[in-house]
Amino acid sequence: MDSILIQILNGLDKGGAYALIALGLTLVFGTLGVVNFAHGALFMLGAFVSVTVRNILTISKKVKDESITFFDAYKETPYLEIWWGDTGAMIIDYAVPISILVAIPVMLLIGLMMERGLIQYFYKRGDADQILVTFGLAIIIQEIIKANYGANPIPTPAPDIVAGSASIGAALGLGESLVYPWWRLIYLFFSVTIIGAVFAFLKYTTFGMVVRAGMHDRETVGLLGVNVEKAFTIVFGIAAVVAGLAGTMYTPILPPDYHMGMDFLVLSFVVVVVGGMGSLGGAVAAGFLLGILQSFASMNEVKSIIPGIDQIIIYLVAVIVLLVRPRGLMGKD
Amino acid sequence: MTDDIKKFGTLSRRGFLKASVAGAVASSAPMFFINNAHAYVNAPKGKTVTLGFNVPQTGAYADEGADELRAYKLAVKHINGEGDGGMLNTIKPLSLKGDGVNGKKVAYVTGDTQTKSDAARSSAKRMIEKDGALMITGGSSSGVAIAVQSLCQEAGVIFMAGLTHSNDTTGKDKRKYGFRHFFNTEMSGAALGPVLEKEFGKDRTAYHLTADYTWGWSQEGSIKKYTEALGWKTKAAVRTPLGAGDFSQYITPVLNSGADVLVLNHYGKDMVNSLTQAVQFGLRDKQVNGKDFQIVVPLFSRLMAQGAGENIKGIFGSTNWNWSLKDAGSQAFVKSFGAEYGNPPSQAAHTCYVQTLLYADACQRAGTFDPCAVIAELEGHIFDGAGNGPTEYRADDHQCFKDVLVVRGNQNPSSQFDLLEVVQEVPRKQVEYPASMLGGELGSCKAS
Repeated sequence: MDSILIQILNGLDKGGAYALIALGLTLVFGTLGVVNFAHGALFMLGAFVSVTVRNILTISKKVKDESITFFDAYKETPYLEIWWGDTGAMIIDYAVPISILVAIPVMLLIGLMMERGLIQYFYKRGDADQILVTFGLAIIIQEIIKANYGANPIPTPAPDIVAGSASIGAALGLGESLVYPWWRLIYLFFSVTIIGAVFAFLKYTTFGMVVRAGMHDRETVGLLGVNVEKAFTIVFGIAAVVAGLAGTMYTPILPPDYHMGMDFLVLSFVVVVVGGMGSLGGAVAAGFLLGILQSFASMNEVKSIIPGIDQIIIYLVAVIVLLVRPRGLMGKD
Repeated sequence: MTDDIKKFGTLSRRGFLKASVAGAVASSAPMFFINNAHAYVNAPKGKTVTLGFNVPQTGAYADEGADELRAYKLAVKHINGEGDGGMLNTIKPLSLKGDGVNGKKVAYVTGDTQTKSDAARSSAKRMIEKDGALMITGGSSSGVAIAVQSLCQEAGVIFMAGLTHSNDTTGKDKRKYGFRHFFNTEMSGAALGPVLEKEFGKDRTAYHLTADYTWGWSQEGSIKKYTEALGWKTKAAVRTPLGAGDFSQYITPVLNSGADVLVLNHYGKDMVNSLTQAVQFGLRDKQVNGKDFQIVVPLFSRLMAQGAGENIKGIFGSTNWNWSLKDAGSQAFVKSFGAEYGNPPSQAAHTCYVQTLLYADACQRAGTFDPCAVIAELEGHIFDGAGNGPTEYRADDHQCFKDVLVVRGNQNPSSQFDLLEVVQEVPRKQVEYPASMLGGELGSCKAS
């Protein structure tokens, strides 16, 4: 029982990341009709907002390390700690949560610039052009990050207070052995909250109504005097924020590197296809479903029956869905 | 037809005489009168010799690669007579004088293996074919080392392996042109086994998470061999992709598996990530089978300990060398490296530095850069003063035999670099094994 619960939780926290990226991809595809291959790069940029904030907070003074006698060695002490002591150390410790506040305006701005500066010129072009330009943009963003931050993953830890594990077994009366890392639980809660917020925004606001109407029939909504183009530009910005926040929060789970967006993009496209192109609910459901399937496929009991299944399960499901239900789980004909 | 025979017969008689005379003159003349006598790949023509440093500058082992490159550059400086000379002052015997090798200064080219075999081979090929590299060295992955070693054998260029720990490098995949100073998984198992027994007892159940390539398989096999010999049981051995990043899906099945020891057959950033995540999942706080749950990292390095931070404290492993050793060779190297870069060297840096000096010294002793002559000098070479006590480059498999360190993550570090505590210096005789045990054939040298 404990094993199954742990695998479900593990699948849900992985699925949370897949769902958040897939949600943004689907929003952009559903509104603008663009298959945005640069969407993974937005996830990566969000993660690097976190790295940048931490780098800024830890700007340090070099102090000679007297404990080393063989050669001159230096310790780096952040100015925040020098100036404010424990308070400064606590601010550095909370670099990732602070990054969330920074990531929202930064990612919104990047999203708007990306859409206005480049992608809007390709709305009326063919799919091949859109794919080429967005894929090229993703590579350019990747290389800019690589040139500035190097090619290696950069550890970005969670605050100490949530660095350990939560005894969820004890809390649920299932025994003390059932524990799960706090930050992964927070990530799961965070993804569900963001997904809920996006759905609520689309369902309960006038702007959301315009967007949903535009997704169904852009021309008619335009004829009613609504500036659909402006609304869809904002949608692009929202999608960038969602992807960016997913990346920012993911940094304590996986130290970010310049290539992480591409790794997640491939999986997220599979999620979108399985969920049904253009279906927001489908993207979210497929994200969590594939996360859980991937987690269960990693169990030794499963791998003893089908060796290597953990590596291919997501693609296997995609192939089956495309064969049996080409429009995806929740897609429409 | 008749004419042809007649012509052939006439020419044959005269030709035979001419050829005989020419052959006699040629065979009696000194070889150096003949153009390209003893020609070998990338024979140096100018005042410099070029070495190829092929290290991972990106990928899961990039931290080790960066430190390897620093060590190579320092070795070149010392060979050319710059700096304080480092181990040139301690290695014995040594023919190098700090004025280059065989009257030529050493230059180098670098490449990025990306921790991928195909990229590493392309990079090594480029260095041999375009940059004229006379020797290739590097690698922080056994998969890469084996692939490049094989390429070097085909090309007739010596490969001085950097950090490669799989038995196969000097076992089933050994090559005449390949040499390894670093220890291997068999030695790690032989060194760690008795310490694990002393610390954790004989009644343990282990769960292995293993990097899915030659090194991981080799280490898993060696640790299983030595722990099962103690009486430990192996619950499962699960393969994980190199560079997986998020290992949570592999760690969660450990939680309720009934195992009370997790053996992480991971290295570099993979090890940092898997260990950190294992600790996050509460493994170090668990009690299983009435015992404290333990984590073992059979191949340890200070760079990894640095990356893993607090999580590494108290964890056992083995290492080829550590900067805290007090012998003259280690101290000379640490002083030079520290003065140059502000950090003590890692074990990867140490092995790469020593390999470069050993190669240069073998060329100097041979009086030539001809690989066959250099190989002959390296085979069976016995030396001291390089940080691991008396060491022998065994001729049968080109594996160095020396003392091995068992270490533990330091609970009370005295400085920012004092992350590993040396628990035991395991003597060479405890980790030595017959060359035939790991199989393989060296092959032959392409004599010119």
